[in-house]
Amino acid sequence: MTEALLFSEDWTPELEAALRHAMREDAAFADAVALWRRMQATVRRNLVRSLPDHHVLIAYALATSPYAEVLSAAERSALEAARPALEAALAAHPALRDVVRDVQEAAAAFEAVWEAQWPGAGEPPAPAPDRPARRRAAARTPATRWTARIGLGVALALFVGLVGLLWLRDGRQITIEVPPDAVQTVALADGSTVRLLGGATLTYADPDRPTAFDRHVRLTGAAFFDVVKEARGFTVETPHALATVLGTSFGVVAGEEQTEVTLVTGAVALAPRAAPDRPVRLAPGQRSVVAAGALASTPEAVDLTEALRWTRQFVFQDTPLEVAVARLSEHYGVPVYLDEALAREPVTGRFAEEDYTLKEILDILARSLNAEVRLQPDGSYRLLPGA
Amino acid sequence: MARAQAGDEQAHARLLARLEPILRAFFVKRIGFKTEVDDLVQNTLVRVHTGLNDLKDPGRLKAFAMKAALFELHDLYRGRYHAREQLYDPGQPPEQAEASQPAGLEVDVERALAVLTPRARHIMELRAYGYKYEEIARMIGSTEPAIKMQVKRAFDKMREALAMILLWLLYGAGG
Repeated sequence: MTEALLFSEDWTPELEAALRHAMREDAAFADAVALWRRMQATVRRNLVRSLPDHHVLIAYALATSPYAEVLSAAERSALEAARPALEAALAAHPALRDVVRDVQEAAAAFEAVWEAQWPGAGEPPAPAPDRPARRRAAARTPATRWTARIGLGVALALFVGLVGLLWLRDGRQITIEVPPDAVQTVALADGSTVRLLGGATLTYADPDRPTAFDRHVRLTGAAFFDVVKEARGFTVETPHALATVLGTSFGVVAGEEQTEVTLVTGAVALAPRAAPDRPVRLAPGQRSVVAAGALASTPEAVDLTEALRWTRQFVFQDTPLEVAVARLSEHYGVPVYLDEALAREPVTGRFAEEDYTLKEILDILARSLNAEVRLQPDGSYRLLPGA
Repeated sequence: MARAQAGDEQAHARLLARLEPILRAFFVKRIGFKTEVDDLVQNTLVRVHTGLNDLKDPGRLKAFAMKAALFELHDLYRGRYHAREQLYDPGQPPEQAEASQPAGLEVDVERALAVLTPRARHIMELRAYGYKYEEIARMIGSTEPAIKMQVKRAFDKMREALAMILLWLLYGAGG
C-alpha cells in the first residue's frame, strides 16, 4: 500500500478506498500517511508562498536564456519588479533552478518543433542591411541556423520524419531518445524494464494500453534488458539483428555496423534480421555479435563485470568477491580489504551506479555471505567473516 | 496572420489549424502521448485565439505561441497533484486542515522534514511543483527507479522519526 500511496499516478476511487481501509487496519500506517500528507502540503505551501505566480518563473527562465526576445516590454518590466522576491525563492528552493532549466529546455524544444514545421514563420522580418548583423546572429538558435543552412532538401526529409511521427502516434508507439551521458529506465507494459544508456533510442508500445503490447521493441544504441518471463517470446529488433528471449537479463549494443548481445541470465536466441531462421543460442555469461551481412558469431564466454561496464551497473554473476570489490573500489576510489577466507566466495547481484552507495552494496554482498562490513579509521572498508 | 487579425474567419481558422500540429508535437515531446495533450493543445489555441487581436506585431506570433504553450504546460504541472492530496486525510477536508493546523502538528511536520536528506527534499519540492517522478528523473539526471527509491527511503525515514516522536510522547506522558 505504501508503494501505491507514494507512486500511483492515477489516483482512483478504488485506490483511495484501499488506502483508507489500510489506514483503518493499521493505526501506525495511518499516522505515517497523515504526516506524509502534511509534509507534502507543507512543502507545497512553502513553495507557493515563495512563488505565488509560477508564470513569473517562466518569464525569468526565458529572460535568462537565448529566448529572452520572446518577452514583451511589459513582461520584462513585471519581471524586474518581481526579481528580488524571485531570487529569494530560488535561493530558498534549489529545486526551482531545475524548473528554470526545464522551462529553458521546453523553449528550445518549442523552437525546434516550430522551425521543423513552419520555418521562419511568425518571426520578426529579416533585419535591414544597415542593422548590425551580429545582434541578429546572437539571437538565432541552433535550430534556426540549422534550418537556414540545410534548406529545402532537408525540409523534405523533415516532412518524411513528420509522417513517421504521425505513424508512430497512430500506432500507439512511443519512441524514447536518451540524451548523451544520461541513463533512463523504461518500464514496459508486461513488467519488463529497459535501462537505456546515453544516445539510445527505443520504440515500444504505449504502456497505457497494455493489451496492445506485443513484446516487440526496436533499439538503436546501448541498453540493458530485464525481461519478465512469459510463454510468448520477447523480441529486440536492432538495425542488424533480432534477439528473442523468454525471461532473461541481457545487454545489447546496437550500432550502425553491428549488434552485440551479452547475456547475464536466462537464454537468448540471436539471429541476423535477414536470416531469422539461423539463430545462435547464448548461455549466461556469453556474448555474440551480428555484423552487417553476417550470421551471429559463435557465442564466447566473457567476464560479465567487465563486458557490461558500459551499462553503468555493477553486474556480478557468481563473481568472486575479490573481483567484485576490486571493481567497486576502483569506481568509488575507496580501498576495500577482504579477509582471505572470503576472497573467492561467489557473489551475484546487479547494482545501478546511481542507486547505491559503496557502503550499501558492500552491506548487501556481505549479507549474502554472512559476512560483516567494518569502516576503518582511514575511511577504507574491511569485509570479515561473520561470527 | 494580418487577415486573421482583420477578422477574416477563414484565415483565422487556417492560422489555428497551422498551429495545432506544432503545439501537439511540442506537448508530445514534453509529456509523451498522454490524454492531457489534447487539452493542452486546445487551451493553448484558446489563449492564442483570445490574444490574437492584441498582438500588434505579426512577427511576435511565434513568441506569443511559445509563451502560451509554456504557461499551459506549467499550469498542467501545478494542477496535477493538488486535488489528489486532498484525498489523503480521511478526517477532514485538507484546506481546513492546512488552515487550522494545531501548532504541535506543525512542529511535527517541520521535524519530519528535517530528517530528510537535501536530495529527498529537493525531489519533494519538484513533486510539489507538479512533476512526475519520470520527469524529475530526467530533470536531475537520474532514473525513475532511483528517484522512487529515494522517496521510499524518505517515507521510511519519516516513519521511523514519527515512531520515535510517538515513543517520546508516550514516555513523556507516562513520566
